[in-house]
Amino acid sequence: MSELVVPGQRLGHTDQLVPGTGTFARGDLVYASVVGQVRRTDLPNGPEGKMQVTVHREKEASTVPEVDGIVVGTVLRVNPRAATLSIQVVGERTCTNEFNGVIRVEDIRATEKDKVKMTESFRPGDVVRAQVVSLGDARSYYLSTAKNILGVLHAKSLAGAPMYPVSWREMKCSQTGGIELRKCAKPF
Amino acid sequence: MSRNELISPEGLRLDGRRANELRRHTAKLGPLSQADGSAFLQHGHTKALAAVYGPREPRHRAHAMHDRAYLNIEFNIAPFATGERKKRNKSDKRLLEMAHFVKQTFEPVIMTRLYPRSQIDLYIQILQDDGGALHAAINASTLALIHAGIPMKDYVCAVSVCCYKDASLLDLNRMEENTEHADLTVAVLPKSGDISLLQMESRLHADKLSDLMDLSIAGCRQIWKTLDGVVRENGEEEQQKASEVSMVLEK
Amino acid sequence: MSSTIPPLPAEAIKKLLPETYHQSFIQKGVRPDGRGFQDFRPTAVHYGAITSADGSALVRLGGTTVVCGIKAEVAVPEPTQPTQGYFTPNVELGPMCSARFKPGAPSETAQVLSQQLNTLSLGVLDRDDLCIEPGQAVWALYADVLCLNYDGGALDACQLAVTAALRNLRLGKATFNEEEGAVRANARESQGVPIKAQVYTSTFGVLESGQCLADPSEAEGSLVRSTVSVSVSDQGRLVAVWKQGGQGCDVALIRACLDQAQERRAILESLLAPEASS
Repeated sequence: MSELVVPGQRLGHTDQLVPGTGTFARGDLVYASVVGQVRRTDLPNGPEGKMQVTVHREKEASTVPEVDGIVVGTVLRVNPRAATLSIQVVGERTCTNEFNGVIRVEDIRATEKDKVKMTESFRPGDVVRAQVVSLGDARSYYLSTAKNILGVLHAKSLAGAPMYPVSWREMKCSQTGGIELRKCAKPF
Repeated sequence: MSRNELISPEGLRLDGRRANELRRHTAKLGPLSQADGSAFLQHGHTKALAAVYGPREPRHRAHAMHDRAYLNIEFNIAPFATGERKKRNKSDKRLLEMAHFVKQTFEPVIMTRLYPRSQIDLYIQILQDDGGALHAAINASTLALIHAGIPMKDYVCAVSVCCYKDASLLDLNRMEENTEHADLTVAVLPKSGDISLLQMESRLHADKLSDLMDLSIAGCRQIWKTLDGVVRENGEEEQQKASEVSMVLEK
Repeated sequence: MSSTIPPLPAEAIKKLLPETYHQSFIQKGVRPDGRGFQDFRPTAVHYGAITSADGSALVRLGGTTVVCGIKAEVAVPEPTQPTQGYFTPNVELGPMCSARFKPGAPSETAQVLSQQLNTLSLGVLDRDDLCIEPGQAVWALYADVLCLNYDGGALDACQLAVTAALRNLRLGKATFNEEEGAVRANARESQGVPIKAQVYTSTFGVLESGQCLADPSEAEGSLVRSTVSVSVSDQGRLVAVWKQGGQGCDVALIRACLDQAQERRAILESLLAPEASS
């Protein structure tokens, strides 16, 4: 088990260390900013003889979505121009605090963007996997589903039963067998 | 010892402490499961609870800052915390002032620039107030923020001191706080020795200030030892748990 | 970006599809926290947690933690009810106890809880016992209940905390001095307040299938279609029943809840039994 450090604890000199996550530099010295274990890793392209130092927590702080990251959320509202998501999973971790994301109609799929209709892609309550495009406006992140693996993961039919995907744009109700349109994510 | 004397000829205070002695203080990390980070702290009979939520989406659009996180602090004193029942309004000026002090103390210490456009909520609840509510709140907040994993440059430790005749008293209880003698609350970053907060609202001879500062810094270092001990103990427990989990998974 | 995407962790399923998550447990006859349908969460009472209050108690019901502190003041009675004292419960569900509650004015939930506690207190305290001097002075008891950590079952926990704090309450022996027109309380000769009956509340959640879960947690709330709260006194008499929520339910089901509430009462009684005035 490696050494446990606490915020404000000195880790070394900037001559030898490059501060990474969980650390910061003040003057010539590197300090820890969170509680956790110290890890020193070689920098492949970094300057000679320098190592990157990071501090890893066991109990992770709540996550914030990052650009290009994969998120999963529930659709809250849909209008012809955009769908609003409540982001609940960032990468492999659930966030304790929810963030809002917006999928604009032009970000739903990669091709034939002008033919996409919002109502044929998402409905409120759908669980959607998406990629963060940008931090968006002050209110929400801009998300995109323009990849095969992105789109609706779980949805309920009008009858209230779960549906399974039958093609990239159709889902079938497990109870009534009715077909509904969605932008589906490619199952693994 | 007469009623108005804070210190006996033998050099003992009303509660039997020496002038430069802290009250018994204990701390607990993570008493609340709902919050992202929480801490309970007791200085003598003063009990403070702090809970941290976030970083999360700002509640008001105006609070979102493009380069750093907004720090929102709510300071609350339970109606039954003091001898006399007081139902305080949320917009009570005294509470807002306390929250403001805590905010000013932590804003330079928390690395808010890592979380742009988000909000960090820090809720402080004083359950019992026997003097020193502000410094108990600051110490509890330090622990709650560390527990929540919010990156910080250092701990913040705070204590109150008071100048009484020739003596300087450390860590005031309610009786000592209620006298007209000048008292000040000091918050220190123990590693660098920087002063983060200094609050005094009465007259004090300038010559006395440096003595009081020395005493409060010494007091803060003692508190820091307690806080540091609790944080390290908790950190080791978490490590222990994580290694147990990974052992189970490997099996 | 790589084409492999990590599968959703169980924790994520719980968040994204709470109904599916809980339903999969319920179908197997268990609950996500390992309880059976009729099990309540572990409950603990700690008397005298707040020494600055005249009576106090801290109650834990699973993940829910509430603290109740009672402060006593001398007040002038209403002219129409010269012998009746005051008992004012107030529940605070602040933003500290859960991300669900927003800062600001007391939420509807908190106000409803305060009112429910007030209703229940009518069976607990005889307001006439709070009289010091008819028409001149009575005790006014303020019971402030703070929720520190919220995980469902607020009414059960708050009512238990108020009951325990009332048992813990010590009032100075008060005498009314006619010449001064003021009340003097002798703290040395303190005494408890007479309690008519102790009231215990148990809450049940009714699922869409008609199954009944005792003491639903906050997470189970997504499955619960209606709740039944039953309050019984220590003599086994029914004090109040609240059935809330849109879905109607069988009379038989309510009757089953009553029976379970009676069983629960015996457990809570023994939990409160240790000497309250420590």
